[in-house]
Amino acid sequence: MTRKSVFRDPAQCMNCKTCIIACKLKHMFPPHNTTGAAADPKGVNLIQVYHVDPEISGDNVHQPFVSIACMHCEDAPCIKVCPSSAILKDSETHITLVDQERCIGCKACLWVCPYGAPSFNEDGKLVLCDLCIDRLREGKKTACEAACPASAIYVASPEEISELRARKAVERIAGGKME
Amino acid sequence: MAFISFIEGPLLWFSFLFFAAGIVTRFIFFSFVIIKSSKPRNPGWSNTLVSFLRLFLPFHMAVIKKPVYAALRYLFHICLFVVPIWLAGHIALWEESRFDWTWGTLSDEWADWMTLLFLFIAAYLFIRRVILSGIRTESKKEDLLLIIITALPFLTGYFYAHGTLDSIAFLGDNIGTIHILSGELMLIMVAFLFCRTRLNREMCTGCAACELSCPTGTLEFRDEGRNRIFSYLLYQCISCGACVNTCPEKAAELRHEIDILRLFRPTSRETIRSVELKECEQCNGLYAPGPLMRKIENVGLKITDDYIQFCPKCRRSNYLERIRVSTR
Ligand code: SF4
Ligand code: SF4
Ligand code: SF4
Ligand code: SF4
Ligand code: SF4
Repeated sequence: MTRKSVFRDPAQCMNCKTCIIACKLKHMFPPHNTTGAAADPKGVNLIQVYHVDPEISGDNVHQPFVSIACMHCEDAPCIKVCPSSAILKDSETHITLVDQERCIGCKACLWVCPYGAPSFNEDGKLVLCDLCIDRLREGKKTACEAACPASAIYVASPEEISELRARKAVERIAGGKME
Repeated sequence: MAFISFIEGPLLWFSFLFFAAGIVTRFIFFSFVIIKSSKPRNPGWSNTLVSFLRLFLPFHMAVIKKPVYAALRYLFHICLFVVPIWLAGHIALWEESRFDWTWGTLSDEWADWMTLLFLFIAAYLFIRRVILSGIRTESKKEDLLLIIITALPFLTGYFYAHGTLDSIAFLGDNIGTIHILSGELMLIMVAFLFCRTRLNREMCTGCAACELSCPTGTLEFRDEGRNRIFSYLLYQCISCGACVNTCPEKAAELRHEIDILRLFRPTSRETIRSVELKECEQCNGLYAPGPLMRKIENVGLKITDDYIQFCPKCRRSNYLERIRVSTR
């Protein structure tokens, strides 16, 4: 496999949160605790979807939605700060992976991640998007990419993603499909 | 000599009874507190028990971190228990006593070598404490005193058995009495001797990983006001060392400590550390422990300044803002 990157397109995302559900199902995160002292209505979520303030100009309303998960930074700050070397880069795909046995739950990774992506399970161990590496190895799409009805998520090599983005930009400017 | 017969008679009885009463009281308090405590995250009794038993096995992380020091510590404690209990001279006294008890004895040669080994290690520990002033300067004096009180019966006992000091008038005449007195002092001290967790002020970053690993809920933290406060319940601690193994800064440590007041306060939590929390520069919310953030800044991240002063929520909103500008 080549290097893998992820792009979540705010222009396409429509805030349906299907990716969140697909991701939770794929990873079989336990049901949310909604009662008692440990109640956490969100539970472990690897993706968060936000809407940013709309832009209104005349009759045009532009409302971007943004889904945020681990970006698999190339020079990942979380790896640098982790005191127990619990976060690693997959040598082949450059995906950021977590060794939960080693994680001690100090949360240094959360305090340093530019996207606030790290999420913690009820044992206090880090859970991070693994870009569904097992599915990628089988040649399938990631759970979120496969589920997204708006095709807002692409997981591919950085070159493929930039080509795709360039293609979209050209289409937007030219106002039509490119051959 | 009324004083000497007092030391060899009533005071000896008193020390043994005091020792026994102290151990029983502490065991009762310990059982009470441990049974009463329940923690939602607690993986159950088996985990607590396993952690407790692991204390007696010399194969855990602390050994891997400092193998020589750990080996010496184990030898030290083995000698500390074996020599006084199985020494032929002591057993002779038990046989003479009204209990008429007896059990197998340690050969004199072994007893001598073990005593010398013990004294050698004690001297090493003492010198190590004096030299390495970096090790917990706060309680250095008590530590030294503790080593002296522990080593004294062995030292005097060795002199007593070998008559080394017989030529020195006062010591030569009274070494037996001094030996008994020092032994009594040690027995009484044991009732107040605790093994407790400390979080080193200079090294601890307040990350609370130790709290997460503690199987009994002995260590707890809460964020209160501008500070993160760690509290500790001595009687609930099983000295398992999970916190020591976990701490990434080597700041958590288990240490012996003489604490007279604590003996009678089985359920009172004490605050053992307070760490200030860092404020987000955007929303002014307190989020991460300050020393940890300073440490993270020192790691030398390339892109630190854009976001590290913000809480994770504000980081996300800043990111969203950037996206909004770029999709405009
Ligand atoms: S957790 Fe955060 S810092 Fe680490 S790779 Fe993912 S996005 Fe980057
Ligand atoms: S929480 Fe776990 S993964 Fe994150 S920095 Fe701490 S030890 Fe590493
Ligand atoms: S790639 Fe997989 S793990 Fe990552 S967010 Fe999507 S579904 Fe979750
Ligand atoms: S694990 Fe170590 S550094 Fe973290 S709070 Fe506990 S003692 Fe301090
Ligand atoms: S405070 Fe440390 S030594 Fe005591 S029970 Fe908890 S983890 Fe074990």
